[in-house]
Amino acid sequence: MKGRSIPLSAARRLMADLSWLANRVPQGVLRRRIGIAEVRAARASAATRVPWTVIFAKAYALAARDCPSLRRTYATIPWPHLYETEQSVASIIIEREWGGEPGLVPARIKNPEDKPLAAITAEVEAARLTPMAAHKPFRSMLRTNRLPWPLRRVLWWIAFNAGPQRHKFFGTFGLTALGHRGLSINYPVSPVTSVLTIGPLEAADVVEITIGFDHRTMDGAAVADAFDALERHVATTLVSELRLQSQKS
Amino acid sequence: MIGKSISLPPGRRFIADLSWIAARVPQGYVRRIIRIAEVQAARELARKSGAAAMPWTVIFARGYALAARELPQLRRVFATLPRPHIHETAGSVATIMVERDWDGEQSLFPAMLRNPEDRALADLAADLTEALSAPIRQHAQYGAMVRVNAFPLILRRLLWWYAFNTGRHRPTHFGTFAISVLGHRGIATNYTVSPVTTALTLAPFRTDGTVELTMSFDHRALDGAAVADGIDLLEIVLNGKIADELRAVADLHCPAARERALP
Repeated sequence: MKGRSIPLSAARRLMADLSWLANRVPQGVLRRRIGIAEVRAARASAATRVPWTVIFAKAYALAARDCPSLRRTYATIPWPHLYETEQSVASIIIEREWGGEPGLVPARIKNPEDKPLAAITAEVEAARLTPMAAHKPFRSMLRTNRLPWPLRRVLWWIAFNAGPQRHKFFGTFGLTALGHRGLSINYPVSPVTSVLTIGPLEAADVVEITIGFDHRTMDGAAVADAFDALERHVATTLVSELRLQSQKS
Repeated sequence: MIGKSISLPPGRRFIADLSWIAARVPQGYVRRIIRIAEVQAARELARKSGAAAMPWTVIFARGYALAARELPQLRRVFATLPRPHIHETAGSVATIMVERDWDGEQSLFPAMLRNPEDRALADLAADLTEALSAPIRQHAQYGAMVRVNAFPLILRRLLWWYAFNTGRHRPTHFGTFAISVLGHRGIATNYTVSPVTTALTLAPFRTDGTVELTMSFDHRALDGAAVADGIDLLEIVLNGKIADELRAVADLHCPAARERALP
């Protein structure tokens, strides 16, 4: 069969490296449908349109405040242990232009549980629209991505497996959504302790959320607690914040 | 507890090797409900006109290959030899997993359909029938596979690994995409074991003219958005061009059947 060879673009090179790490994580995936009628109404009445990914990132970070296991990473350097951060770092996966083609990049949001929705939205928008080289949070990622293959892999491996480093490069949790394209994600590829995915919005104001989790760090019961806390924060804290926004306007 | 050791039958050895490769592929997995009402009606019309029932695997193989003609990302493989790169083929090779008897045990075999985008449905169905019925040692596609499967473990794995990671060889031996169906057995798939760039599975058909389609993808080669584009186009092609082709088959067999079917 005729074909042609295409060198890896910067975006594909990053995905290949991240996938390589993700493939080494024994990942369990659980899914649950949660009701979003109230938050949907509050979101519709808010002055500015807040992306669903931002709403769920904040709600999950609030859930992580209640559940420490969501802030833990399984680190192997110098020997296997757990490392717990005081706060969360969300990695919201966004699609953006990178070197003339669409690529996936992580918008890293520190302490989303303490930030207003508008501030998180602004950070995500900056990650989407600022030229890649000019966006400061991407700098270390781009530098590593330019290195030759073996060195790159060694550096990613250290960053991933050293407890105090992981959250700086990968975040404490990931968030990715293809629901707007009608897709539910059965199994996400993501090198983080837990990754949240948002499915399509169903007619009865219900959305399917899946959580992929590193089974070395936590068990299914902890994920069930996370789902409970997530649903509670979406229905209370997030609804109040969105309503406050609409009142101000 | 008393037990007994069973040496691997050839079919299990083949799947063990294939799974060994698949475990090295970082796979994302998505699902979507797609509309198939038009193509379902057209297939039924063709069947009623006297033509042989067209296998759903063939319908989806041609539909997906037509989508891949427009979307090069669906024809790409991530190859690591001699260095990590993407290899893009000019056409598609569909791998349909079929069950065959192999030395007295039911085993999975990859039936490969080359360039389904350029061929008629009936032609593809004939290839599939041959893959289902020809003696496995004489079938051109299975010959090499059966020979490699007889090698010792290290040599076998080395050969599979080489074929999988070389851009030129992968499409020939593994295909550019795969289709496996367990829907007719009432089973929906959560996670498949498949080493190809994209693999489609179909859940049981629903009564409202839709079906849940699941798709695994090699995240090194493409992202979820490209998969979403692929499924969108597949849905359009199935209910458009493929449905037209099936209606033409019905016309050919019995033009009156189509008129009778009209309200």
